[in-house]
Amino acid sequence: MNSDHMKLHTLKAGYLLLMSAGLGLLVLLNLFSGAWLSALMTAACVIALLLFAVLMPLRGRRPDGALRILLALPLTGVAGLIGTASGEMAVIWSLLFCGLAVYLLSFRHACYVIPAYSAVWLAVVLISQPVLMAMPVLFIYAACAVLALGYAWVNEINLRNLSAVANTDPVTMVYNQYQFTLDLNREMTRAERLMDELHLVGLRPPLIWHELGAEDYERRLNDLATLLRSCLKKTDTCYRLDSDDFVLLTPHSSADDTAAFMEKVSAVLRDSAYEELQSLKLSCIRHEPGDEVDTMVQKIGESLNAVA
Amino acid sequence: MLSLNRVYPDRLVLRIQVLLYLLVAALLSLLMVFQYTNGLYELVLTEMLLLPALLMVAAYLLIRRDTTGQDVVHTSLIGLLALVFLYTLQEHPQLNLYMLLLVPVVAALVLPLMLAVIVTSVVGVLLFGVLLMSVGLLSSLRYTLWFVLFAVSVFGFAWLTLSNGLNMLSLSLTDPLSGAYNAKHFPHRLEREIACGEVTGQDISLIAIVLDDYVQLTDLYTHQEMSQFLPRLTGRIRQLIRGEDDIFRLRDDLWVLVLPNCGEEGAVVLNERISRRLEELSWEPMSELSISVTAVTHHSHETAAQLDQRLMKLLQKKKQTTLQMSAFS
Repeated sequence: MNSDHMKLHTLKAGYLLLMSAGLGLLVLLNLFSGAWLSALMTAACVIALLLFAVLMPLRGRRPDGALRILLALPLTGVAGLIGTASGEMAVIWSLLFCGLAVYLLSFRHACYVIPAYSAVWLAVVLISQPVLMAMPVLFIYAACAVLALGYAWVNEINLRNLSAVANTDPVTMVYNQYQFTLDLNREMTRAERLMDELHLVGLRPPLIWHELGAEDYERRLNDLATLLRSCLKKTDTCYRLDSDDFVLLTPHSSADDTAAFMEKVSAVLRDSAYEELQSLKLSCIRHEPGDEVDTMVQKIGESLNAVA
Repeated sequence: MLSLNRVYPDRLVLRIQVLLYLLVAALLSLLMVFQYTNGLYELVLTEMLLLPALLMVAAYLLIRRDTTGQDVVHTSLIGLLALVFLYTLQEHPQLNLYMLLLVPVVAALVLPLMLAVIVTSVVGVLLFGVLLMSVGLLSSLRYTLWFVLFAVSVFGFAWLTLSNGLNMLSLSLTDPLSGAYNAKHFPHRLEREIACGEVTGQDISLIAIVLDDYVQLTDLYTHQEMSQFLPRLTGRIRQLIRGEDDIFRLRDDLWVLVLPNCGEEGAVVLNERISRRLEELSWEPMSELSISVTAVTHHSHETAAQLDQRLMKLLQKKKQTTLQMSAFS
């Protein structure tokens, strides 16, 4: 697991523990002031948060996307509505609902969920709170909801623009298929002009890895990419295609050079800690004059199917 | 320090910040109308301080058109916002407590995250002190805790969103404005091309194209015009080179071409051709394009960094010569 993931888990765990500590203090304050029902509800929240922190981020695990949406959103939404109805400061949960919805859902879904929740919330505020109290709550809620949606929109556009120019695979940090097509095109032009040889070495991650959880699978892919990168010469490049297959581009290498290179990669894989990598088969294709990029991608896929 | 400026383009940050202040001003105006109709004149009078401040900062940002280095302005405005609500907190604790929740929300959007946390923490301490004097220890602790929990959540969301954007940014090797490769990719590509050149025994050359008066161009033409011009320039340069050559945009005004299998003579010829062709072409709405082109060829045993350094020194020298010539003429 890379340091960015660790930092992310540490932050999430820190956030959950801080929230638990703050809510724990609120339980004590509620007990001192004799608000037993509020104390009980808050204590239940503290236990839930602590349990979640211990089970997920503290162990470096990522919760399933659907689980997060099914648990966190309704809990925050209901807590916000109860807080609003009781006129307590717990109304801030409804303000956090907007941020959470934007963070957990896609922008399109957040656009439906936030206005729908806001309509119910508005009705609860108008029914349960005196008008004088309702106005500042409405003010801050409107600011939070508009800002959350506006920020989500900007973020969506920005991320879409960035992903259009991303040339690196975020899991393995090797180049992605987009960059592969650009580089292969250039290398093929050069090979044809210089009458040089161009070979592609392909490698398909073990099929058994698909049965693992997302996090384990990504960690193993990352380890495999690190092994492959350690075999590369300065002139070679490693890519991960959209199909998860790895391709090693070895320009200016003869068939013998490529065979020696494949032997080197196989030797490194044989020493790997993962048993399933030790017997992994590599495939190799040679660029023929007149081949197009798509033909080469198709050829490498077919050769990997043949050895798999 | 993690901030919006590191993830989003400057112009987008400017729009977000200006719209944020206008939104807060509009919502505050509505609230004040309501407070006025309910006879809360003292509150209205105090809050009236905020409207011109919000509008003035929005106007200042629009005039300056620069979102970096404005932390003092933003911090002062957030400080004023907090002070106004803290001032009236003793008389209307519950009413103004909600308004103070605006502080972490605004701070997270306009300040670097660490500074936003510090400013909000100071407001949290002041809030506790003011509440202690008006509603007693238990209630003041409870209200401050809610404020802290809300602020922690806001900053947590902001951190996660900004980190996500920053990660995406680190995966990109392409300059989003011009479509050329960015400066991060340049040393790797150059190193690789030099290694390939050593294997095949062929020369490698670099051609640097500097867009003179880039700053004036950005002042004269709109963002939309510039964002149409930059990819057009990259595209036209690409038409003048071979398929195996690469284009990089290393600075706002500097494009560098990496030309494998191209010796000194070839580089000089291409240098002249690029210079002539780019100045001949029409660049509507710009009247004319002034560029400086410089070429260098890789010497044996020279590293990528040394070649890059030699190119930059040549560029610097050429710039000085041009300045001296224009001073004499």
